[in-house]
Amino acid sequence: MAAEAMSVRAFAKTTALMLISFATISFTTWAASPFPHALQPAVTVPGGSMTVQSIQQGLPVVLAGPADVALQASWAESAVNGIEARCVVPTDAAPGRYDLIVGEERREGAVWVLESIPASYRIAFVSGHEPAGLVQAATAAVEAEALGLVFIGADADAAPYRAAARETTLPVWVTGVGDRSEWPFAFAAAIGQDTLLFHDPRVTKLGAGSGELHRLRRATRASRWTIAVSPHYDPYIGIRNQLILFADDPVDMFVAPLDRIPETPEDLPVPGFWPRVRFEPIVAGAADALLVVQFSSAPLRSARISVPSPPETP
Amino acid sequence: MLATALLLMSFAQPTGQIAFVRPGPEGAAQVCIYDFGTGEVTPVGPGMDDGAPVWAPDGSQLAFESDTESGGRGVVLATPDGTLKRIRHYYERNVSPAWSNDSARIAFSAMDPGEKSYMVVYDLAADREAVWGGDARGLMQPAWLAGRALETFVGAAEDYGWREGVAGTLLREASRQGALVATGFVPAEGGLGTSLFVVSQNAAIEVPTIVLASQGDYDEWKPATHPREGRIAFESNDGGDREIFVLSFRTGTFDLSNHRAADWNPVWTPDPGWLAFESFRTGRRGLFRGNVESVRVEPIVASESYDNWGISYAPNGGAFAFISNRDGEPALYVQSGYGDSPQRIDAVGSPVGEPAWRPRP
Repeated sequence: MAAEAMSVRAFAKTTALMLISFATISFTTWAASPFPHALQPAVTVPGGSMTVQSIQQGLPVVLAGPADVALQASWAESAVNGIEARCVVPTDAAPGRYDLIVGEERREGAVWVLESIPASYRIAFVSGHEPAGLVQAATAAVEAEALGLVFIGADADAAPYRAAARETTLPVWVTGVGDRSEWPFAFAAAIGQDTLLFHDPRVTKLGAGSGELHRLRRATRASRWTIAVSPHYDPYIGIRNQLILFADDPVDMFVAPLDRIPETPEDLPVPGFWPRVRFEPIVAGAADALLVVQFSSAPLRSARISVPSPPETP
Repeated sequence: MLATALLLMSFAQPTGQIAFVRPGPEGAAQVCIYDFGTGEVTPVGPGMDDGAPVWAPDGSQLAFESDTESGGRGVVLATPDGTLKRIRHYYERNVSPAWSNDSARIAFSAMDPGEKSYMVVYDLAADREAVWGGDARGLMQPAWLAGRALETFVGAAEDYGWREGVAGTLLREASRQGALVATGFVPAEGGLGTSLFVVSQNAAIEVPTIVLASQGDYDEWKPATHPREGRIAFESNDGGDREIFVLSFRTGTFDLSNHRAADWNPVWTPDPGWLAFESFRTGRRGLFRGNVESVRVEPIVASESYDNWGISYAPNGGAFAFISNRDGEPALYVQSGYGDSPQRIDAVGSPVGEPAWRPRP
């Protein structure tokens, strides 16, 4: 046996611990709103398809918007999402924002039908916290010619964010806010051949959450690009979740909020596996807070764009 | 005849106590104990985001991590009658407690915010913490090397010629004070990876490549030592996805679970010839076991439509507890043996997690 193989491998100075084995915060509620809904919208195109989760099979599914559109739905029990329907949008459906009606349940603004999803497009990311910031960021995202906006908020009621999302003219995925009844531990939003993979490690599920994240990651591994988004960059993410996202089946980019942009990997508040995956931090309130990522056949490119401050609340 | 049937039924009924975690009065996780004899649930943890309970091998008390009043995280000791003791920690965050085989010491990971982690061992009789691992940092998830595993390690290390320097220190200390197996961060291509380490009070040595399945940067996690036998189970992404490996310092390492779906969280069964683990090979998380001689894998509780996880065996080896979401929220189930029907323990409510069957005191 070679001596060097037995010698203590020098723990690099960068080595540090992010060692929560049992991520916990609170679980005042258990149920999560089924996908899609106003803050986790589905994006599709005429002639395209989308997944609709429900608590019951066989319900009629209708898009209510510019005109009501009945969807052809194939219901099945999914290993990933439980009961879900694969719904086909008619080729003559008008582009726009739709409410989704599943049986008796109406999910306002849950579906965006776009004219097309080009091979090359932009998604904007921002950590804005307040609902007013969402409207401001959406305006900046539209100006940046983004197809959609990912908004990382603060812990607060979901209702104001839902109201703010109604004012936007592009799909907005919101995470990190609400009474947590809005949020499953993890959910995936498909945009054409790409995936936004959201997970909130503070929505503890007593050990069940990592299994859900693994199933989602496995189900989305064929995506052209996958960006993981977390509303928390701290020890609560847990080593198990890091192994899923950054080691076993690495995503292409990880986006999370930080207090400041780190100058080196050692500057990260919780160094760990992140350096193995491209990490794009977002600093709430920073002048260049809007992160715009270009999805195309070329490697993911990103730019940071200034966002005007939201109006002060009187 | 009837008496015999009743007697057999009573034998089939699980006995003893199971510790677990469920939401407490404030909504945060709280460690509780369910007693099969009385059917009652007794909260024993402070309910401050209590972590997974771990029984001392002598069954006398539990150790688990929990939030502290100062905003950190510490290890709490709790007896079944509700007596609580918080270990006085030097560092702010202290997690992943692991009992020594003689129930006299607890190993855990400790760190201050923004600092590198330490491996710490707490001596119950002396009420004192000591940093283990010498200068090594980034160590986590300890498991005690005990019984034949420790003997095998010491014997193999002597054959390796570990007599000088850090290796010699580790060998001498392991023989005298015992040793830990832990996961530690190591430099890897593009950032950090994890690897297995053997740790004593003043030394930490990465497990030599010669006893691993292959050479390369893989991410090891969750070492599980058998309390008596000489093998160590762990998980690694060696081979492309997460698999369960079994290591012997004498005979090397083999892939026990080998499947394209992820396999994780190894747990030794009471029969040392079998290792339980969780696998996604049905599409959902299920419980499986593998024979460490034949490498045959068979399901314990698995389904294509719901998850089963968190297995914990009864001290008599027949029955086991686990968590399943077959009825929606994660609930506690008990099975008298492989192939038997699971029995839901409604008294504990749901959601629950992290069951730990109490060893016979």
